[in-house]
Amino acid sequence: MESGELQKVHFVTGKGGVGKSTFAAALAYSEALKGKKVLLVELGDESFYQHFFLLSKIQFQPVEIKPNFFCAHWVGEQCLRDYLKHLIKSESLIKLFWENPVTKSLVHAAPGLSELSILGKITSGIRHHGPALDFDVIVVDAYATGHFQALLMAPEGLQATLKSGPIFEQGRSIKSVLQNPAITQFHILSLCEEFPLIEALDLEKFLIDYGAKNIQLWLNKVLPLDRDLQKEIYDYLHEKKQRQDNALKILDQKKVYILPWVLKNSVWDVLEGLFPALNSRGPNENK
Amino acid sequence: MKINKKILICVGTGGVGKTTIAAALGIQAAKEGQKVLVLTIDPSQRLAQALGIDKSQGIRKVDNQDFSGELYASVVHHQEMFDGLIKRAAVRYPGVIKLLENKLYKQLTTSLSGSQEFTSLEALYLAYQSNEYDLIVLDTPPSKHVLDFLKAPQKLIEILNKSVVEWLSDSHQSQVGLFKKILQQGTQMVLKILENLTGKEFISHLAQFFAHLGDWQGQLQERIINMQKLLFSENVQFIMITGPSIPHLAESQSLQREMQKNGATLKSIYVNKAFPSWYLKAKAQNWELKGLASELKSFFDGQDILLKKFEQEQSPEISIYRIPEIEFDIKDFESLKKFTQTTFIGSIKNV
Repeated sequence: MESGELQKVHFVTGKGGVGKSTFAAALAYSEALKGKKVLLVELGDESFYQHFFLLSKIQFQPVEIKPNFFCAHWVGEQCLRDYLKHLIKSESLIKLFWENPVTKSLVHAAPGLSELSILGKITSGIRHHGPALDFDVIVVDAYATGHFQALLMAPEGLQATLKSGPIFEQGRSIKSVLQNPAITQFHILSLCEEFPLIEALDLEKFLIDYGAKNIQLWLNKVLPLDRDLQKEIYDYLHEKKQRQDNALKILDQKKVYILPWVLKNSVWDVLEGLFPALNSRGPNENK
Repeated sequence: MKINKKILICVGTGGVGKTTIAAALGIQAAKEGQKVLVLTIDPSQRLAQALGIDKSQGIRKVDNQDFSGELYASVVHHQEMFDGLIKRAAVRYPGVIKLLENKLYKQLTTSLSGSQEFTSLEALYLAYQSNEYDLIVLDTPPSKHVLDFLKAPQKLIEILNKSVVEWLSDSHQSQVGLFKKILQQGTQMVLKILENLTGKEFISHLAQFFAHLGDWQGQLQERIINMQKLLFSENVQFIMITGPSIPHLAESQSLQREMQKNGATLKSIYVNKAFPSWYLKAKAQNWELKGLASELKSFFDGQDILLKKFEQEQSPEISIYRIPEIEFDIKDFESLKKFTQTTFIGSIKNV
């Protein structure tokens, strides 16, 4: 990691099925091609990217998919374990802790602990707390709306029940990193459909209330429909155009970035097809 | 009492139209003369409106139906389901009611791994035991993986493990016998580390929570075991709903292998939004297209090849349906019926 330059963290969220994972992968890959060392992180119980990149497995330890482009799959339990290893140092004590039959149940039962461990791990390099994370850019394919909100609220939720203690302190420090616009950027994706759009706007409001300052809205799978619509599939294209126009109307005065619908069937072609939109991130002002 | 009662469980990743297809399956069965209940989780507002369950609580007969069977629907309200379960348990185990006042109760019941899955299974279990329906269609919570759902009971059983509950509630009480204390040396260390992580206050609330579970723990665990038995019984069939992209299909495939390993029977796969309505005609009549239309056609040709390959790799017992993209919004019961028709008539079935 270059000295002096801050680590950047990107969170990608939106309604289920709007193309979060593809966007996150394209963003990570495009940054890696610019010479940055990039880590693409996925959360959740099972890996999606192992299917996406056709790998046999993606686990906790980052794997290099292309030069400088790494991918890892993090679950709360492993993040916590990693953190404890850093905190306690004594291998034998940690072994005792994890091999105790009660531990696993407790870690599962402690509300928000899993989410907090994940956020802690993502921000550990920046906060200089926990194991170092040697990447210039971290792109997190975060959960869909509801689960994403729960993830971000984990530090807060615990603060509401606890007024002091280690969790309280860590939670505060994590939140300040997430609020820092020089470090953390949130990307909210939507399709040109009513429900994903409503969720995207709710998410934007949630993030503003949360104190996040660097938020970008993306409209995904947009087709160039300004010219004459081909007569054979006029109805189909006309309906798509209406949806796109309607989406822009719903977004009204907001700054929104456009992602094309990349009409390719292979994963790498799709990612590359998104590069121009990602690189020319000039906001498409709404008319 | 219904003799041939069946359960269909709809699984799949978020955003593929799982809830809508669950509703369509219910409508189709009602058309065929069955008494059906559709249990949804977090339906979109319009779909809830279309079924008339947007404001109602509990199971409701859907309005304006003209089927030879009957269609009922309900939204599973997670928190209410939990509260209800505890209130019912409190009749026999009065101490349990204190759970509702525990500071961590709400967080524990919403964020405990598998708790969302648990309430939908509880709703299913209650409906199944009522013997009211020929068929129950269950939509599953939006999870990244169906295995979360299959494993939910097991996970909860682990958490509610008797030794854990006893240990936690004991460690909360100050008077513990010396002998027991020595036995607990190892677990005390665990508690110490957790306390360092989370603080004393947190552990105390957590211990209290498990202490209130008390005598009910055994019965609750038995209930979860029964749910698990039901989940893997021959009355249950799984339906997978997926999308047509490479990662979607690859994910479905590995999922299926996992399901088989876990002893769940997959009956059919619905690939939603597999092609636009014009595509079949364009292909059959060899339309000559230009520009964007031609690009779209090639894109769907590519998708067609992917889907064929996917279908060929499936075991012959599984029916696969490709559902066309619809060009109307589902905003009322009429459009939902129209979607059902598209799903069961307009789709391509593998041969």
